[in-house]
Amino acid sequence: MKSQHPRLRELKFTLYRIFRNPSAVIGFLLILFFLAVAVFAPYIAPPKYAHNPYLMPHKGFSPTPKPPSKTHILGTASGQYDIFYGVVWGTRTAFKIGLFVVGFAALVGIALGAIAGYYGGTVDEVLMRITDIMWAVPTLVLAMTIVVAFGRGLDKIMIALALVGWRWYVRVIRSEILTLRDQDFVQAAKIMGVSDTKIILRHILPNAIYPALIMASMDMGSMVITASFMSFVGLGAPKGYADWGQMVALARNYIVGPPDDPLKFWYTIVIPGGCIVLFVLGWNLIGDALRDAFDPKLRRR
Amino acid sequence: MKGLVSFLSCLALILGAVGAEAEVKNPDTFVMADYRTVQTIDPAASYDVAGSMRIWNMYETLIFFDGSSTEKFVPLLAAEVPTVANGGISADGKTYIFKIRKGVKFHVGGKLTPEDVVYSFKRHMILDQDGGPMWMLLEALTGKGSTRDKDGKIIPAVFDTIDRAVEAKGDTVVFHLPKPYPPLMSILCYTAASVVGKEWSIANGCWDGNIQNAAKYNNPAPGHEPLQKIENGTGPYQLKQWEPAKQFIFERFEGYWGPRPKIKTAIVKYVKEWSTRKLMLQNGDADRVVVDTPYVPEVKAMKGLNIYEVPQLGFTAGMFCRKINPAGNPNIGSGKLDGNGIPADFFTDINVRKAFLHAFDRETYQQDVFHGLVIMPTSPNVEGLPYHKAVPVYAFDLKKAAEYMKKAWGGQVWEKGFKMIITHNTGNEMREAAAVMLAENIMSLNPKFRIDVRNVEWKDYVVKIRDFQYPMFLSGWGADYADPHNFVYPFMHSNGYYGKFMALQSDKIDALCDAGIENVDPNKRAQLYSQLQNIWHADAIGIPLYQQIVVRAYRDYVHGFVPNAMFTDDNEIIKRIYKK
Amino acid sequence: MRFNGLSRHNRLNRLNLVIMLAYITRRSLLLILVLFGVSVLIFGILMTFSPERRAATFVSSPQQAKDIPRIIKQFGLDDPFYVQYIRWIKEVFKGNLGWSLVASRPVSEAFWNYFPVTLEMNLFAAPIVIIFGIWLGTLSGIHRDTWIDHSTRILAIVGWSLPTFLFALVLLMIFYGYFQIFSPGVLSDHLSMFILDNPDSFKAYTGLYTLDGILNGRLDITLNALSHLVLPVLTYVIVVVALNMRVMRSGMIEELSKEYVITAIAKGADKHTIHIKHARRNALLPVITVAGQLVAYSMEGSVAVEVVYNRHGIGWWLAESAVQLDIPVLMCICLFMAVIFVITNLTLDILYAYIDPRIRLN
Repeated sequence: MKSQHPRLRELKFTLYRIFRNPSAVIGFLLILFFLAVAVFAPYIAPPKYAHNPYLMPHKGFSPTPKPPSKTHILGTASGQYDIFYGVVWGTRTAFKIGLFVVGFAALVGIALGAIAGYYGGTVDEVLMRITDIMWAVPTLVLAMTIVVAFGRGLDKIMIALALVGWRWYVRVIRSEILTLRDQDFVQAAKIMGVSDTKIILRHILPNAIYPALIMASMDMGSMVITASFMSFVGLGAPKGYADWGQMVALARNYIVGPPDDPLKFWYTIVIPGGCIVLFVLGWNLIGDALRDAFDPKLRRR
Repeated sequence: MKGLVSFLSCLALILGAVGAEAEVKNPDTFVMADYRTVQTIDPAASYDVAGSMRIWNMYETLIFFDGSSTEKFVPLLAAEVPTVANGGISADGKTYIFKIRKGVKFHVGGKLTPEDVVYSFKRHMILDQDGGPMWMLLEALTGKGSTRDKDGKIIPAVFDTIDRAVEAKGDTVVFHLPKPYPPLMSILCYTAASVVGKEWSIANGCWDGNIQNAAKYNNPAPGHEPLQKIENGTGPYQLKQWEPAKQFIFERFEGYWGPRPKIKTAIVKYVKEWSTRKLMLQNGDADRVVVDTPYVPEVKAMKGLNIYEVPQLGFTAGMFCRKINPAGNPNIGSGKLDGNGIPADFFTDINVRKAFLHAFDRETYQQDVFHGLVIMPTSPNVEGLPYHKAVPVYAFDLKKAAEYMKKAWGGQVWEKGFKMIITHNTGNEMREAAAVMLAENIMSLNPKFRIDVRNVEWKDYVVKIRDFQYPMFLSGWGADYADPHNFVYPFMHSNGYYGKFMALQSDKIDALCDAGIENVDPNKRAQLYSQLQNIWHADAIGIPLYQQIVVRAYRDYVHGFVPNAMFTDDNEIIKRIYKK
Repeated sequence: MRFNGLSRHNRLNRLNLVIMLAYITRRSLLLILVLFGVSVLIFGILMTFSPERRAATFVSSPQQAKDIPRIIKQFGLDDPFYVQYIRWIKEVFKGNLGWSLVASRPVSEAFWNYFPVTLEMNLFAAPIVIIFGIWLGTLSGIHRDTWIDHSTRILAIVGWSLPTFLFALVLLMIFYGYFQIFSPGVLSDHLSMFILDNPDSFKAYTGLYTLDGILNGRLDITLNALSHLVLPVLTYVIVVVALNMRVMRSGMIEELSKEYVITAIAKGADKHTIHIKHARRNALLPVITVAGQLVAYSMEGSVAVEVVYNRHGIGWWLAESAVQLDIPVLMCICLFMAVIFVITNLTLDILYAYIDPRIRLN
């Protein structure tokens, strides 16, 4: 035990702290499940068109959804698209959205935040004023504007969210680094002639990264919600594309069935809608647990 | 005495019963829920289905369609419908005389005079906003489709031509046409021919009546037309309140010259969500809602409704562009016939076009997409238009499609395969289904064929079509007036709206189209349009997709609706409606 | 503890005032910079449209599309970026924000029509979110790691994980679809007709029906407007409350772990009094930040709610404009949001600086 690297020991404690929390376990299980579905999608639901597996197969064109049956175990959506197929491949779409948006936003945000925080001065001033400008317009509004300008489509939504999302990370990382910059171990490294890049990467970032990690985890969920809302409004993927938000949008007109059977089409909305909720819930639970585990104020009693 | 009492109580019971049965939610209010918005209620600028609905109820035209007919007319502001027989139309078809009705009052006061009518026509034509409807009257009355040339400059002396085209003579108004124009009567029913009060209009910033000043009033920016949100018509309803994109409220005009309408207040609400509209209809909060084709089965399953099926004068087709713009165009892949794209002139080969036509499954399309509730057209001259005839169609036959593909481009298409994108406009499920169906069927012919389906917003779609970006586009046309010219010309003439973007080049077709509008003799016209309809099939110009039948759903206590193919489902002639 | 600073604050009052003024001036200058930046940014984004595309926003049928080249000429849509920007900004200073296709009227006029609807919903939702969030957060913080904590947190997180539009649709289905209560919209027809018919007896003082109802002595209108607010506010509260609750919870936990609490409890002071009177009061400070975030988020959160419940406010306008490519509206809303955001933050900073003088020195 004594020979353990302090960072490793810290990690162990953190993990212990995380998994002591039942909601975190639920969160991880949910995400693992979705991950498995996404990875094995080609085996769970073999695609019809090899060149574009995200195209949901359909039989006929009738707009009225059909209930679960032997051939379509979760029923068909409006346009006779197979819901099961859509949900399975939609998992990949959700991860794609989350990973791309959060990955890009976090990388850019952390890099800019680190530069601004570490160097300070004019660099800091310029970067932060640009961030201020970006910051002043709410995510959804700015993202919608960008999507409108670039043209509709899921790829455009992803780009728009990535272009908008980085600004959060800049601020968080910068403020973390501001507190670390003048601490002894950083000053010591400087005196020893370690290069700036190395100091940032080896000494500062590992200590400043936790808030960004928490934020990234929560963002994985909220970005999927934002993307699905934009699909709902009509800015997203085309009909028949395996995307949960698009599937909910497709189902919106069937949310109320005929008067004698108002829940007739429940499957068109509950299944993709439930997937969104569970996916987002998973990430939020993880994020919440991470916050509890990393937050120095809450860490030890 | 006892007998009288029991008789009275019986009567009371009966009255009570009648009263209970006649208990209709707000009997003198009519509520309609629609999802299209109105941009303007200026008759000279409005050119959309929602706007025309508002204008038709507040303003009146000289004549109007007789009930369900698109060819017979009844007088409104005219005292009678002019014909060649009663001397109202001259034998050469170049002069029309309208006797103006007496005793008609405007909403804000004042009596209608022939001078008001003349002013209205001139004022509307002078305004001629870009994107507006005035080209119809300008084409008929001045021979030119616009007051401006291609660069937006005012055509010299065009206003003098307008000035001479309409005049008041005694209690009549006379139109002078440069050439006979058979559809004029139908155009005169359109909202662009509405009559406004002259003095009131001038007071509100419209053209001052002096033709020298006309240029000042020409082509205002959208929203800056003087009558954008105010009205002074002679119609049965006046504007009570308009909250754009929220609701539009009509109130009965008590000084109306005609029979007093039953409905006192009519509200058109803007409700975008179908679910909300459906619930409003179900709960009786709306007397009528606009229903899109996919939801017809749901509405038919509802109780307590009156449902009407109204065929529309409209035509939608899949069209092939024969001269695609190759510059940086992702829709045609490599731009060469190398298996990774298509050449810019891919569709000049009639075999390719015929293969596409044979790959379209009309039967399934009709049943699946429209629940059978559609007219499958055979040419742009759809059912309900004069001189319509059914021409043969290319039956769904994948073998024949494959045969034609093998013949196409000397066999190269079949050997090398191709790749292209078919684009439709976002949200139009009918066009989307057609695009998907074509793509899937063509791909099933040969594994080397690959067609992707994309969608873009309608406004982008229009721009890209105009830029010759799409090898194939799916688009439609609604009637401006009920005449084949309004359909055959845009779809087949090399200078027609779609003909241009399909890059059609045929002197023969052009000559036939031009002759069609210049002839007054119905027999001669019938023959010309018959030829054109045959050519549409023989040349495989495009894929006729659908002629819509819209379903109108009213609560069952709403009566009085008269279907007419000229009116889209946004329309409602409120004066005819009553609740019982 | 922080409140001890107040007495010192009084002594340094005059000096503080000067510092404060300088601070506010600096922030106001930054505000102008930010607004300018936002306008250039948004204008730049929207200028990626080709002139044809922007001209096409004026047409709605193939019949009209033939005029596109003329429209480009008329409005100079093919001029260079800076020419168009200057032309636009000049118009803005004249008070002309352009023409909204969605609203069929000038943007500035339409704005004041839509704004009260959004404001009204947020005026009701925000206090509920804040109070409810504080209560849940306190509860969760006091009972940390017990079932109370876990269940409130999971409930809040589930709420936060619900896509607003989906949740709103489901509520609409249940309440309006089944029970036929809480109809969508802002006010029932017969009442809006009454208001229209009697412009003299019912005056629109504020544009908020709930308030105008009281001011005009028409409680039925207030009640009716309230009934239309139930579902939107419920949706909004359930989705957003987690944000506030979370901050309150960490605040509570932080305070409870402090020496003075532990000592007090060890000395046998009443646990409840300590929790509520001292710990909660100190933990409330960060909640001010959250309240600020709420204001900034409110417009954004309103979009989905307004779209589904057919409430014609700013959020609805935005969604509609995005779909119909109503460019002047997008510009206007982005600028408006930026103004709201910047002013909110400025107010918060001043408030903070007032409460905690140390902040100004940074």
